[in-house]
Amino acid sequence: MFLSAFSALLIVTALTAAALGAALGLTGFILLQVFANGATSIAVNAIWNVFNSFTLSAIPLFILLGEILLHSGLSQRAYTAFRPAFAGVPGGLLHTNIAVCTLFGAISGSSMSTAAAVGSVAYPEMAKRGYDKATVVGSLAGGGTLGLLIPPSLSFLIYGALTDTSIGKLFVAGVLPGLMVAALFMGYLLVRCLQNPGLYPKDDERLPWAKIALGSLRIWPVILLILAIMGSIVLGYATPTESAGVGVVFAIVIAFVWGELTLPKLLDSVMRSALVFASIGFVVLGATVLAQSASVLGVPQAILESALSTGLGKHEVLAIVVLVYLVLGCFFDGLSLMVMTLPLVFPLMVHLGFDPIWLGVVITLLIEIGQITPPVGLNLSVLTVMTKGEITLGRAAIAAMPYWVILLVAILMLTLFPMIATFLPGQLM
Amino acid sequence: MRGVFLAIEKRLGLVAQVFLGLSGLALTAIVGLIVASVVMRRVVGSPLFYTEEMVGLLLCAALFLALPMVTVRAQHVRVTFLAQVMGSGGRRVLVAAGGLVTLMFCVWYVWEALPWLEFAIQRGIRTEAAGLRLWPYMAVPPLSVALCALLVLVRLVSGSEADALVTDGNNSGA
Repeated sequence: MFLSAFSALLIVTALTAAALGAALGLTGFILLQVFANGATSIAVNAIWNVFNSFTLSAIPLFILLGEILLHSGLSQRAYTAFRPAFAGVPGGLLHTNIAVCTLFGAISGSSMSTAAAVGSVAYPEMAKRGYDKATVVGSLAGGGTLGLLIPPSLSFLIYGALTDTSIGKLFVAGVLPGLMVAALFMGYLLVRCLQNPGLYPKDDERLPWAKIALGSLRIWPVILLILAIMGSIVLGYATPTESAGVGVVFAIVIAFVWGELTLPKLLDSVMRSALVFASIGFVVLGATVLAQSASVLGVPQAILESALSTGLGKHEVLAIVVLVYLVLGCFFDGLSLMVMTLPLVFPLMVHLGFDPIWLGVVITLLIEIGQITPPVGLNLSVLTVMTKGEITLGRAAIAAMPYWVILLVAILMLTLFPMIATFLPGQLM
Repeated sequence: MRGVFLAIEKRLGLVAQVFLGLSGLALTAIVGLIVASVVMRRVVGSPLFYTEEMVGLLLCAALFLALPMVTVRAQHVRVTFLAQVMGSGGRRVLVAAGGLVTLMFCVWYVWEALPWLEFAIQRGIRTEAAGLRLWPYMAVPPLSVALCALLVLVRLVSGSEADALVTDGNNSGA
């Protein structure tokens, strides 16, 4: 009865195009009112407790850090720096897209920002040079997903804050899978371009390695900043929140001295960060009310018991969870999906014996898949707009399909070899 | 009549803009506090005992103060695919239903939060470390959500909500 009401209310309210946070919150309020003897007042306290948090404050700070660096003209510099590195490789600038997205992933923490920032520089230039436009969009959509996996990542921050899992360990755990996915993307592009050389123009502009290395130094302050942030967390010198706070100050200095940041741009960055944080935070707010109702009514326990009573093995349950995320990823944006599902999925999977850090990486991969799944795949929408309609959403989705499969393969590899995610945190922290 | 509501929306938008400015200030204060805390702990060897508490309060304020402007700019995360495939008439009905859902949640939240705030004021609750009065911070969520409710109502009547959704997609910072 409760689960039917839960699903029906959520579907009806969410499909009305209401603010998703309000849809989740209203569902939670109604459930508390009807099934928990009107205990709606506990939701207000729960919201206060969730947001009155030092740990969660790393989220707007990392958003701000990314915004500042985006405003400093980094995308153009990074692109120029990495461009010669892949000049001799079949696919050329397509690999540059993945490399720059990997770097951006270590700055922005957001999938859509990464796709948008790199795409705005890469697409016009590559279209002009004669690259296959759909392939370019596919590489940008796929590469953009690295933003959520490569630390610092909003996904890991929210996951860690909501499940009391070490954010530092999550950040470290994301490094190897992130690099693995980037390598898989590049490998796919290499094979595809070898099979079909018409996808890219011949580039005879080859530079000696010394010059390429020298060119890469153009972005040394940013690389240093990334290493400092990650290093301070890994070495236990600072918490993620402290790293983010100090990182913001250094980013401001770097962007003023080395980039094109101005005071109006800085103010704009602060305001945009506040807005992005609030739009994500409102979903967390609504999900908190819903999670309260689920928790008060013992839903996670009931789901766990019914999962155990079916006699399914842990990997079969994992397969079902993956399937649910893939389906829901068609309709919900990634972070919202994670916030909505964590109160139910986390206790279930951890009880079944999955490592919380490993689970964080897998869930992040799953929501990344959602970023390139139509009709709601945000990376696809952003890139479609960026191409001014030259590539439709449908074509972009088809072009991103191989990356969708690669992300799924990455989940399979992580399931077969969990050490890919758990090795580094175990060694370093 | 629509003009009147558009004018009210504009005024409320100005208030939302002020709120957003305060949200930006709160974010800046968080950065300042954290940097000061790190310097005091690592350099001076005298940690600021109230940093975590203050950062938590400012974070909550930053989030809620920015919400009205998120509403003004229709930047809430939404599931819009159904609205996108509907015709103009169907979309307007859907937007009205969505607006009502948002409005109901906001009103319900404010309704629940007022006694909670009243309790904090009556008891004079203070923070543990710094001993600050909590109610000014606790007043921010209901106040901001009430402004959001007003904005949603006015935007529904003026038609701005439906207009925004025609071009809006499902969005977030993800």
